[in-house]
Amino acid sequence: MDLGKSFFVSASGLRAQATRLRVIAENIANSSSTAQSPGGEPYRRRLVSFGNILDRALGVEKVQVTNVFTDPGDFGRRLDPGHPAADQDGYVLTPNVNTLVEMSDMREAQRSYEANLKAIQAARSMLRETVQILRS
Amino acid sequence: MEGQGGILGIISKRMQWLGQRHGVVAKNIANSDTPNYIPKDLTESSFRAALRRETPRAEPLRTHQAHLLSEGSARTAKETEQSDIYEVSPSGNAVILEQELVKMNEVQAQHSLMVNLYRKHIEMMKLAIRGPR
Repeated sequence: MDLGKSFFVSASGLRAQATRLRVIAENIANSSSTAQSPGGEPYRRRLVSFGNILDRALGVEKVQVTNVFTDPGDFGRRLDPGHPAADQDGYVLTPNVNTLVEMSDMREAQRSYEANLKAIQAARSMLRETVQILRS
Repeated sequence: MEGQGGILGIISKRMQWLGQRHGVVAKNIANSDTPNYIPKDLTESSFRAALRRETPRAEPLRTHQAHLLSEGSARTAKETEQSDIYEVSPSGNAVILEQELVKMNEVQAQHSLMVNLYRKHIEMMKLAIRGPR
């Protein structure tokens, strides 16, 4: 693998982390999306999982989001008898999204994104140095 | 003048190796959240291995066009999984971002050293051609 190909690997990492950030944003945006009618389920938190995939044309292993799955964790309950989705006892199910967890996950994704960006910058500066041999 | 064995050949080989190592580090960084991923690194070739490579090998003579050539020249460094793992996350991922970034910086510094060495060598040759003024 040479410097040129490492761009593609880092770019695939950027794309995977961006997908992860998008899913986290969905979770945060839906952190209070309850059901519309009694018996319905509120929003369920979603998670991404990464995996490797071989790009045969380039001969490098790229990173990809292999699947987006839902968190099987329990829903929260809130007493709100006036809510349209409240059950007989007046409780409403709330999504299993913990904003604090999402925030820390988001920070982690951000760090990984930055690291991939740094790798691209490093490869670029090394290539530029090599090309500048020609100039002297 | 000096062929592949000269200092320019050594520098370009080293730069090739550094480029390959950067690729491995970039892959580690890209996989910093992939479950069950163990970071990889290139093995620094030892003097003994280099000597063995440089000494001519006994190769079968190519007497017919259909004979295949041995691939002695096209060698790339071997990629191995890192043996000393510092910590593993619950998902089975053992990449430490800081460590990889340090490695990347190391590669970058060595690369610029090689580029400067190359340039210096060319400059000296130019000086020799030009002669004293």
